[in-house]
Amino acid sequence: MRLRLQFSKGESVRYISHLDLARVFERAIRRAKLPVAMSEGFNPHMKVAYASALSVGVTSDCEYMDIELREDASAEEMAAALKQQLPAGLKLAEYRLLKQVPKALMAVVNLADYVITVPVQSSTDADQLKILLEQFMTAQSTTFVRRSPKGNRTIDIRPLIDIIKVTSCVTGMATFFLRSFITDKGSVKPQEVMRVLVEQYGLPLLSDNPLVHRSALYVQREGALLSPIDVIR
Amino acid sequence: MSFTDHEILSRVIKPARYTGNEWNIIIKDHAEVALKFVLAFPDVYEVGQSNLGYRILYHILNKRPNIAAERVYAPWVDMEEQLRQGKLPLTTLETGTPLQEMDIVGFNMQYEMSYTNILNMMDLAGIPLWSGERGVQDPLIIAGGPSVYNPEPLADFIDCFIIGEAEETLLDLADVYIGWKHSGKPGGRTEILQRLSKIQGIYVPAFYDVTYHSDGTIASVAPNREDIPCCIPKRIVKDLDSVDYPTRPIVPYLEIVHDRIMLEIFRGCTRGCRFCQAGMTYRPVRERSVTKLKQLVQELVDNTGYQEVSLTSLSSSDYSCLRELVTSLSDDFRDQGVSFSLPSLRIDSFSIELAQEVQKVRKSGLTFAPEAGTQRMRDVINKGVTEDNLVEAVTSAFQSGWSAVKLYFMIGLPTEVDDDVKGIANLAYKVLDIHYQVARKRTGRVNVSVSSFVPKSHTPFQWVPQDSIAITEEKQRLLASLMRDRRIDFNWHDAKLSYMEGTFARGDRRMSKVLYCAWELGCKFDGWSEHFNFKRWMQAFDETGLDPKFYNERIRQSDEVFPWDHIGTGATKAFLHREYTAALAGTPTADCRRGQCQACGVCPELGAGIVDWGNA
Repeated sequence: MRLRLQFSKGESVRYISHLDLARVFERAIRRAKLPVAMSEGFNPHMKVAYASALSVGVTSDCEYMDIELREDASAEEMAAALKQQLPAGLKLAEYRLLKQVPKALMAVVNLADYVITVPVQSSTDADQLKILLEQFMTAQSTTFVRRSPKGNRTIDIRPLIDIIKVTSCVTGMATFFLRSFITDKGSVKPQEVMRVLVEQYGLPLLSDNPLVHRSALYVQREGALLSPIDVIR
Repeated sequence: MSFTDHEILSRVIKPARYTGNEWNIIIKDHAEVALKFVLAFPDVYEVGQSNLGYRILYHILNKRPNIAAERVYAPWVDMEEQLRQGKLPLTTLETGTPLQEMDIVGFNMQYEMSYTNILNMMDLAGIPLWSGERGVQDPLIIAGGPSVYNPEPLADFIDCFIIGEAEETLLDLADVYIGWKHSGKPGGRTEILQRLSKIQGIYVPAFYDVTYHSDGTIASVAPNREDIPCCIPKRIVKDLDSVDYPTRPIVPYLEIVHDRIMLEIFRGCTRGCRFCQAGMTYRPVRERSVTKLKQLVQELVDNTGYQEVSLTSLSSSDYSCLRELVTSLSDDFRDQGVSFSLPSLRIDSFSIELAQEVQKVRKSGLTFAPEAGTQRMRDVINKGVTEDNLVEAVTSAFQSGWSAVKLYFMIGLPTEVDDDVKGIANLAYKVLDIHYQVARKRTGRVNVSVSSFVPKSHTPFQWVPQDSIAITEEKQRLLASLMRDRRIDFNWHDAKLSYMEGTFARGDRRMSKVLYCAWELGCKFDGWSEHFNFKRWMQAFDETGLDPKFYNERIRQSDEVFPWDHIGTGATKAFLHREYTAALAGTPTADCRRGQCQACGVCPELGAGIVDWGNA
């Protein structure tokens, strides 16, 4: 039996890493005394899995995790106990018990929505930004080099993006909506998208550190957008 | 949160160092408290948040409804740059309040080489560094911690020092401050300091004048006003079972240095190692009872979700009921998946047995501290450990499945000759041989960590000279040449850093000028090798006209007045000198805990006694 949870990561925990977040849940699960299953071996660890890692500095309304249970328990009681053990900024939203072993969250989630807020010149208006975004959307491909300690990799981000649009642009602050694909071959971070748009399309942003918020994670199946909780309904 | 804050936090590494909101954080409304207190730690979050004393004081102060105790750590250099660029003040983690708006800022004196960070944090907070330049609108700056027993190098910056264990003193201080604040701060800073100086365990350095002989040594340290005591004895908690222990410690998001439950099983150590300042300053031994400890572990596990408990003290295998404690804790908590560790083991097979008991699964490293390479040297320092003890302990460890041990040594101990240094290498090889005899394969590993001895105040070695940098480095080269085996991992400490530590460990008030100058030259995070800059320190000595050799390389006369003589640990100077003489003669002194009283003076002076449950 598994317990699938949806939770939000708010402002007060914006700057913790995915690893930090995983530790928070481990400790909270222990404090809440949930009957979590443990791995065998010298160094037993909790059998928990997350849908998608969230970067340092990013908030979210829609994180998902599966907790494997070693015995049956009431979902309501577990959720109530866990809620009391979560620090400010982490809020449990929906939850559901899964009787059958589901496909790994990581394998089914394939679409992510982001709201991106970033300062612009007060003279910049939405139409200006729209034109540039359209140029990007109509281009065949747009590549950039992702640098990491493991080496540099050239990535075409265009096929990884479903939608990008300006949702507002007032008093020197622009807000964008981004819907991007999470594929077997990888995904692209919103910060990377914005950097590419600035560097290659001249998007006039005043900061290279946009405020990023993940507003949804979906399982897109036959054209329908389902939340990972709905998938198992 | 503003976009500017977001930009700043996006530019620094580990931004969660600065954002708080951890589990068990205590945030109070300033409108509803009488006192706003900051616990300031002069190192990064991961170091400061690991400090047990700091955790205890956060808990003790916040337990009072009328006190808000908040935290601040030294911002790492990237964050400092952001603060200075943006002209932003240093603020607390709990409420983001600038330090300047708080009532009291208390610094932890963890280590001499973090003093520049104390100055830097005050500067980042916009607080005048010299106590004489602060006004009634500035917060009161206090300090305490392990290195407070020679507070003099900080005397000109700090308003008052907490001498000894702060659990009770700090609450007394808070009450006096609140009374003064409520009556409209009459008489300004002098008045509050006067009132605070009446509290046992509080030292107000401005109320003392120091005079010097022409050779630079001290002629006298005397109160400069009436009703000020000529000596400030430390204060201690007599019964650890009755004092509050933090059972709801903050659980950080970041992985910190000691990321586990720290359970202090007892305080003090009476083994009497002559180099050890903690062994002299934390006397007498006071144990918590097994019953109390078991109760604390359950509360701590329930409130934190941690799974690892470190049974801490200065010498955990000396806990009188250790077997009972370890066995019953292991039994009680096995089902909850909680594991225990003993960080400071004595060198004997009993300790190995216990280590096995607590580390049933993981055979991680084992650490022993023979401290010196030859028996002669160990007798000088009164480290009651023989080579046979070590042989017995490592044999037992290798037989139990460990294949690596870590050995701690010091070089530069008084009377040390080349043979003593070589003895360290000999012991390392001996340990490898023992492993081969037990395991019959060459897979043993020994990690040899060699620090440079720094003579500390209030120890029998407060009279001895410290090795010069050149001599220390020569000894390090000798050791490196002797330990070329790839199964030996040899680590040593930067000789220059230990040398600087020495000048502050036995420094006087004049050292405050060196400290200030070094800070102005950009010294900070000196304990971090990537930031320690010896040239700047030497420049600071040059510019202030002081000579580090005066503090480090001189044999002090037996009747010399020391800058710290008016700070009392309970152990008398006569006792320390007897120990010094015994050291030079290579005569050991027995542990007073069960044996004969060695008349160090602590128990009668403090009106306290040894608390030893195994002997009750």
